[in-house]
Amino acid sequence: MAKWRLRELFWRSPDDPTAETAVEPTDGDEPVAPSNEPLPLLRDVQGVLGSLVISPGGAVYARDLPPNFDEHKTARLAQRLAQLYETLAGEGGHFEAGTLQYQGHQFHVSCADGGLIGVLTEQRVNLPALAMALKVVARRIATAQMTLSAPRIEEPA
Amino acid sequence: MLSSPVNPRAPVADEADPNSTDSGRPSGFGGQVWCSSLADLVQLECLSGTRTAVRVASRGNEGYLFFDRGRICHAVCGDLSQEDAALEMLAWDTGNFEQANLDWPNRSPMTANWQELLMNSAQRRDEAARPPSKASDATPPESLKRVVNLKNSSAPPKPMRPTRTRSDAPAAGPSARPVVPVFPVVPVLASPTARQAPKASVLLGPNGEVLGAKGEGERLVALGAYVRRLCDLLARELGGEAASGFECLLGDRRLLLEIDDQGRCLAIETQRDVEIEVARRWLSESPLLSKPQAEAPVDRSDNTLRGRGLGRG
Repeated sequence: MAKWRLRELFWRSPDDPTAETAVEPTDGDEPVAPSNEPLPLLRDVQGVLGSLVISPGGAVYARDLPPNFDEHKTARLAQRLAQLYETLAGEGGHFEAGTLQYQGHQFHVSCADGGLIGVLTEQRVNLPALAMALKVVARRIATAQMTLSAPRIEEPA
Repeated sequence: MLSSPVNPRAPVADEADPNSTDSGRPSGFGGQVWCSSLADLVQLECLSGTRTAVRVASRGNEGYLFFDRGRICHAVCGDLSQEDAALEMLAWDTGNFEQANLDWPNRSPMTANWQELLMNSAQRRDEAARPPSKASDATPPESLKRVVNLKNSSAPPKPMRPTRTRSDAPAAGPSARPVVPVFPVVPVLASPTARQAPKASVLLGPNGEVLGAKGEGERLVALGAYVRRLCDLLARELGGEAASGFECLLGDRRLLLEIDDQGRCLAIETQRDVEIEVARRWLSESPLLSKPQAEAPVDRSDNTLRGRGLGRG
């Protein structure tokens, strides 16, 4: 799936009145604002602290992280995540999902169409519920992508 | 092949009335039993749950197996006893067996169950038949495939037959071995250890030095070391100090990393369909981690895995 599709899903033009504060994108396109709609769903799962969606190249498409993850920190996190993805994907196998464990927390990475979803959780997290929630989020992304990619029918003048 | 010495043409005990005990003979049937291996006999005896002793003879050697309530309780073979004796006899490929009228050994019964014994025996035989360099290959040995019902076996599992209706083995005379109906060997529950063994594993020191490797561990060295470093960096970005573990799915493979308190990183690669709990067990129970740290890092400049623990099964 093309990268721009995921990007288009999560970023809106700054002219959009519903858009939040504009964030400078990291991959050089025109400034757009993030739309984090599907991500708060993941917080419904016990133990989930936050999440983000990035492109395989490390651009942040959306984020729903704790407040201490500022823009700069989130961008660095996305770059590291992309680096890890690039390393693993280059090893002959399709990277699907991974879990990093560190001091009392876990960071789950799941491959979505055209990007990666990262979910920060506590050590004790309801994994089956998280897996299902991730499916729902991925499905919403896919549905939105289909909507975006569907040809528009022009109204007759 | 192992056979009971009963002549098949000899009159069968109490043929007219199997339940008759008028002649003093025990109830039951008589006849010849032909087993492709001693493992078949062990399965039959254990599944029947009877209490009986069997004398096994092969090429001038002899030994005894004592069965009771579905277990091999005792085994004696020359100077060997218990598990060692059982494994010795199970390694024989031809011989005879008969019911023996022996005093029951006065010692505590064996701890290993018969399934473990059969699998150990099969594994030993295959490893002995294999060239030494391939001894650590994770492919299940052929004889093990015969003994255990492997999860991914292409053949459909055979249905369980009802257990024998034969009553407890009679305290028979030396030659009156009751006949055991021949039926297919009932598959034993699959053991995860053979098929699900890691394809590769490597233990790396804090600075990437190779402390040990198994299987195709060599190709995991660079990947494991770099992924570990990236995981540490990612953990720092996430507010931690260092990563303690990482696992991921890579196509048909599963990669697992565990970093211990000493900063050593154990990287294991398994097949994708290995259950995650089994894969994690491999991590926690890996003999690599229990090894003392190597005195000096292995010289990797020659691109080989020589040195302490490397390439050893």
